Amino acid sequence: MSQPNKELLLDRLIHEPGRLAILTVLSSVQAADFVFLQRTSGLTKGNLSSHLTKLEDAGLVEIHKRFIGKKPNTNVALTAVGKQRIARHWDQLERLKHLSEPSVQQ
Amino acid sequence: MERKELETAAAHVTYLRGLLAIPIGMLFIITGLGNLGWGPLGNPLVFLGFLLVFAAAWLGINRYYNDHYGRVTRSHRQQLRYTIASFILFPAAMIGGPILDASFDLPVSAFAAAFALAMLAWFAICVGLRARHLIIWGALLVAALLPMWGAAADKISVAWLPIGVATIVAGIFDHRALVRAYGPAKDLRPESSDVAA
Repeated sequence: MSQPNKELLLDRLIHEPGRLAILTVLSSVQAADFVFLQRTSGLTKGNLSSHLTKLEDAGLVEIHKRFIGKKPNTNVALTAVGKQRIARHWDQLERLKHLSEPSVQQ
Repeated sequence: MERKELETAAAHVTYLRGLLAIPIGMLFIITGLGNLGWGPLGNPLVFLGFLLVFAAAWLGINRYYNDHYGRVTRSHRQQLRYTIASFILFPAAMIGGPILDASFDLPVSAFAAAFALAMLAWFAICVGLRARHLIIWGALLVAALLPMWGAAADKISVAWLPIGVATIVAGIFDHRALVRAYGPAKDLRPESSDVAA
């Protein structure tokens, strides 16, 4: 049996649709808060909270809790590692797409 | 949302906070009417009162957007583009346009035309032109270039009125685009939407 091409192995932590959406949004900004991420990802707050915890544990995002006025606000930003990993993941998806094109045409 | 939509969401969400344009557009209209000495608006204190009301309305609307649609800190690159475009285009239109109108006896409104062009350029540079921008600001540009402004005694003040109306209409359409993209405000209850991650 042939060995899988490691270059094309997808990062399972990032490939989950909810986490991919969160990281993609964060890759285009300096930071975004919980409400904005909930709006753009379409996740419930429980799911979003759970995904953010996983991403923070993996060192891909930094979570900063603060108060604005009297309201709690959770601000999220990508770490340097997070930026590299999400960029690499999208590159891999593009490469896979290109690889699949000839077979689709046949 | 698709990848491209997700990547541009943060850049777009700021300008889609269209209801913020309502107090600004109202301020433009009041400025025009005040300069024309229309009713009590000719009184500086009344104008100041309106200014405070619009400032309070702007802050309230901004809070509504923060609570229901969230906060975003744009990337340095986006922020730089917004700042440069805003600091060049709007002063050029708001200073250059009236100077042209005051210096030359033109039958058109250089101020309204410059403002419309500045808005179109700003959208093209910062977020990409949409059909609604072309229609609203294009309509203002056409109105500004119609040779009907020569009859106005103070055409700079009169020009504030269509500028204000266009600002409000554009803002309402932008807000509608925000709701279409992210859902109605009631979908997220602000008191329960921000939980510890």
